[in-house]
Amino acid sequence: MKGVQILNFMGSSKLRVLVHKDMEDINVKDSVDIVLTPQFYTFLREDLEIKFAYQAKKIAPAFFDDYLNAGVEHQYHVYKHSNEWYFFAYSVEEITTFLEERGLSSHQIGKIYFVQELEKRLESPMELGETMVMQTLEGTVTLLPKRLLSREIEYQSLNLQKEKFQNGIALSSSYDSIVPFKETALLSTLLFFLGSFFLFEGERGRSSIESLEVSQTELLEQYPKLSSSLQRNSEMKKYTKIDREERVKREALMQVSKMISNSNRLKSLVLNEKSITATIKIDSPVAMRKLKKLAKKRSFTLLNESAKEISVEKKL
Amino acid sequence: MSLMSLKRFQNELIIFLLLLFVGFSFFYKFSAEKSVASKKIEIKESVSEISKVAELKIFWDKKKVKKEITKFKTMVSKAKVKRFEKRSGKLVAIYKNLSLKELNKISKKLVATHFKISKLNIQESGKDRYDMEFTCKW
Repeated sequence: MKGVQILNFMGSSKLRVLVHKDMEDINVKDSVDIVLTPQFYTFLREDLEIKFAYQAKKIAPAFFDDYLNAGVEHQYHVYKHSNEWYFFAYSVEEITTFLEERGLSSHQIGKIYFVQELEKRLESPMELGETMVMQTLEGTVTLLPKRLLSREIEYQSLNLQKEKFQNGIALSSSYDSIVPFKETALLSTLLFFLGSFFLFEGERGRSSIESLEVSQTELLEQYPKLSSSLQRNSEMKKYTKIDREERVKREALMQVSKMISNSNRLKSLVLNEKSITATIKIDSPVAMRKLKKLAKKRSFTLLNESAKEISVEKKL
Repeated sequence: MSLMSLKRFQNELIIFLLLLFVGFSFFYKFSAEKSVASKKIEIKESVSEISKVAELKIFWDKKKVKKEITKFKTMVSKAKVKRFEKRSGKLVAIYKNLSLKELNKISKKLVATHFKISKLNIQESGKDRYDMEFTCKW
């Protein structure tokens, strides 16, 4: 593959491809990192009192105002080298279109590097296709026509896989996204944990009724006939009715027994499903008044009353 | 949408998908809590019903009553038991000439035994003497 520097023996696990206009077609299936030559970027260096790269990136477009074609959308990359800030302007659209013509799909592009990183390595010239030469002039990697250089000059060869690149940028993050990569990572992590927390809470809620279900199952195993709600309701009606009626009868009997004291005695007591009637003999008018008061308090009605006898009744 | 466009908006797409994930998981949590709450009420009601019915059934248990019934015959001397007829879940008992103490004893037992008191008739037959008749069912 003449003109295309591909080697994969050492260093990065991904292939690196030097991108220039005279490069030949690329025939790879895996993704590759690309190293841009000055044909695909505009480079500026500035000595600025700026601390952070994101600040430099914000002002980058202003530096390139006079150098770039306004009709083309450009992306910017910035990094600090020694005391200077290196600014790069490039067009992803232009690069991907060109590489697709050379057989490399955009999804195969991993990281983008700039050959400017090899400024020291390119102090002596390197051939770039049939007509061009790449060389560092005054600290900037530049392309020159081969004809300007002496014919006896010896060109160096370059193994990109062995070279150390530090300032790459992923194709996906090269666009000027509304949400920058760092914020995306942070927000994504937060959202992921929030979502996972909700899922966990939902699942925890579901498992919280397990103990209740166990107690219900145990109870049903003990009383299998009560598993049907219809059966339960029917039994409940039957026994609640008996329970209520019999408690009322017994309570009424207890109330009559409490009315009996030393100053009176029971003459008769009749209890049936509907009422309870008691006739009590009384020795004195004082005891009579007391008994009448007590009977009234306990919701008994007076049926008959004579000087020494009283009949009271209570509906059940 | 081309692959390039997807790559271009990759960050926004990731956030959008994660927001969908958060929305889905929130909905899942919300619906799980709602269904758990109603399921809890349903189970609690069912457990409470079963327990109550079981409790009532045990309280008004026929087998227990059958055992207790025979005691009404032996609580007082045989001479005072004029009738003691027990058949198909029904008892008719008639006592004559009971003392106050005996009357109280039978009455207490009557109240404490878990059967239906259909009829009770107590009549004074002399000084501190009583006749008693009752019918109960179970």
